Amino acid sequence: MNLPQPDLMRRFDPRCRVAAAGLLSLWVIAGPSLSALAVALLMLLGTVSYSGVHALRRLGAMNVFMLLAVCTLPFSVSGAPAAQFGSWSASHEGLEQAVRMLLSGNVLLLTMTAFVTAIEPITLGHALLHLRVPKRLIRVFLFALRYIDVLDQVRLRRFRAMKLRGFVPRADLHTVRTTGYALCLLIADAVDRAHRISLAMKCRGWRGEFPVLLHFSAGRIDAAGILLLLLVLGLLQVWSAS
Amino acid sequence: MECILNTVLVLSNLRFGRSPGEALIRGLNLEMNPGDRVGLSGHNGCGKSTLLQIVAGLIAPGEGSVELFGCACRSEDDFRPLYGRLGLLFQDSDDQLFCPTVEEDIAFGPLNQGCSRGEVRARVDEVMNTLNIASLARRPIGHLSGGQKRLVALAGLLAMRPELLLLDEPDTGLDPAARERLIHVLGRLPQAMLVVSHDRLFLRGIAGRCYDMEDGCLHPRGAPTHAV
Repeated sequence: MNLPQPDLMRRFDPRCRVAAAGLLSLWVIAGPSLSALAVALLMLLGTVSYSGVHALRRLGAMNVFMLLAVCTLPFSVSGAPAAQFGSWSASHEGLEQAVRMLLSGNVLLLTMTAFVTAIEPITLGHALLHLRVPKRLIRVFLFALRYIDVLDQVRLRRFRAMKLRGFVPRADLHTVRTTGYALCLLIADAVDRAHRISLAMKCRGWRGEFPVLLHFSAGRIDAAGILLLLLVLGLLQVWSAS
Repeated sequence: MECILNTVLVLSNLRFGRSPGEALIRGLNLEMNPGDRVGLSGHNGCGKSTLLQIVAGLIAPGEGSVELFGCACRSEDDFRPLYGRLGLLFQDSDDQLFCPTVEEDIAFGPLNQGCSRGEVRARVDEVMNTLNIASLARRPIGHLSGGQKRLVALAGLLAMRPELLLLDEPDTGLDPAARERLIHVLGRLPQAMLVVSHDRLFLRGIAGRCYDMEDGCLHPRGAPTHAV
């Protein structure tokens, strides 16, 4: 949870970073031209490398996954033929869609890497709360952060206990039944725990609102950052439209 | 609510059973004044934790009455305004620590009480200093040891400035050093306490009066023998 934050991004208010990521994502979804997407990709690569975030591994993993779609799209989308490989013909439309998918995917990943991933999950929850994301969703997010690990420890203890009593997973009914029991117990544990947590919250004066202790303060640098982003996106959009 | 002053807790002829035929608590009486420290022990399933939950208003007793701070508490509405004045420490600290970081969890109660931001900050800092856990302030709860979690859970209660602490096996799972530290911390607190533990030595370290819970009643230990 304590990720080292890049210096450049740490200067900005987490709410502005989340809002910036949202703006950029919306722009990508709006369908700008391929050249505008390519420029945005280059600018994001520059920002990420300047910020000192190691994004290469993430980019590599995603692009390997996308390779399959990029290789098959030109042949599966009908349209004007651009190239012929034996009996298979690649269409212009398919090629364009493949390049758009590749560029959009990379832009979105770099956007998240540059603006959001360096925010600690807890801070991200608070930033989303300040950005008027529904409180129930934030509560689920914060409770998941807190309790997934607790439930995982329960799961580990239970599976270790099974192992110590000679349980070896096999492709048989006994394994299915035992795993089913273990999962059901885990769900029952989670429900019991949820009940106890709600009692504990009640004892401490819970009134349906999750109070926030830490507040953020946005300054001039944040306003300047958002303005700069809007300016760049505006210019790219004008270029894209022309 | 009827209010009688000068007592922290009065339990009169309390009866409770989980099912119609079962009587887990049978006519239990207990009176505590401000600053009283009462220890409770008894075999597993004898109703110690249930008793604490009845006192905290989480379970309704079958019969008898619960008076907290001189006020007769019959329904949830009677208990609700008193939650800041009594604190219940749960057996499993993970049930109680639901905020992502230590200082946020400690601040949860005072924020619910409607304290100002400055007041909440002051209470959080004061409690962390009292329990010597200031270095953990920004630590995610999941990164704490069992002993640290217990102290943070206690800090979350103390930040609400309670007058009565209900501690359900606070020493369970603690190593000797953490246990000694907890005895030291609890010994310095001015609040009235009702402490449940299986460890009689631990109870002797903090409680002025100790009772064994047997057959649904309290039997004084190391004192003239009469069931209360």
